[in-house]
Amino acid sequence: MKQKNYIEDPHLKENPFTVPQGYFNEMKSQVAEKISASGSTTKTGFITVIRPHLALVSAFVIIFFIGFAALTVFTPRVSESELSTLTAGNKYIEEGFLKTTFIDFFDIDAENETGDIHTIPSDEVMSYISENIDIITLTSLE
Amino acid sequence: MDDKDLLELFKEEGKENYAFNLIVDKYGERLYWHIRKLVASHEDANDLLQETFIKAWAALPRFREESRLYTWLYRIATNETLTFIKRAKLKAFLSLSDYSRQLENQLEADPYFNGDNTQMIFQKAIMRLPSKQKAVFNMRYFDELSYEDISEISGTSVGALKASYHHAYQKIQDYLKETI
Repeated sequence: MKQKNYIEDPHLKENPFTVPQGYFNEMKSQVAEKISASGSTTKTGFITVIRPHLALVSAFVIIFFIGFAALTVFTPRVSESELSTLTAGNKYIEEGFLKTTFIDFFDIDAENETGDIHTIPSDEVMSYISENIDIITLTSLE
Repeated sequence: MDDKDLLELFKEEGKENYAFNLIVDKYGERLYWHIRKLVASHEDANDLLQETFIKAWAALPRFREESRLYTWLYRIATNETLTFIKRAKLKAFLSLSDYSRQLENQLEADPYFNGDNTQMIFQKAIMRLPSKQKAVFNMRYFDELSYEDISEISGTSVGALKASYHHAYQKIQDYLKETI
């Protein structure tokens, strides 16, 4: 015997639910009121158009600030006392008290050597020459 | 007025509200019954329907007509309702109760339910289905939508929908056999 197929009974396809009287008209006016209250903001406005671009720019700005903050936090700082020493040094340099340059450091020893040579008295030089070099050598120098 | 004309009217300056009211007029009742059969309560169905139309109003200027207007509206209504059911289920779980049992109680106490005992049992059988399966069953059984339309609404393949409908049909049939 074939079993009864309840679901195919047309009676079950009928809608057993009801609504309060006049509900659909009321619903339509409620929706109309709500959309009127929300205004005509649904149209594609300027802000809507540029919103993706604004988002992109904002993302770059945020990334820049994060990078800047990371650099500031992780870069070792120069202490205030060191800074003041450097500032004072610069001041002396500017005012001409310290005229130390690269060339000065380079020539320090050479200058000292020539300085020693210049300090030998000319009399001693003359007597050294006259004792150690003969007349022939002296004339050949002329 | 067909959907194409309604959408053209909506695009005209100053006629958005009028065109949208025509859309509400055309689809409001149909969408209401779709939602109502999923949530049982008239109050919940009314809230969800209004929410559906508010969302549709906000999204209509971006509607690209890749799908038909009524399947698009059905999709919004179905998503809203399924989200509502998900929240209600979570709420019921947290209060250590069963959501489908709550729906059955609601149905028994509903002043806007005029069905006989068989219809009551049938509705209870539907209430016991998982919410997505229930939506598929209702769209196919009551609204007589094609699988292609349901596929457009739910974003599920036709094959998966046929399987889902078949499972739902079988479960309901078994419940009716046991209960009636």
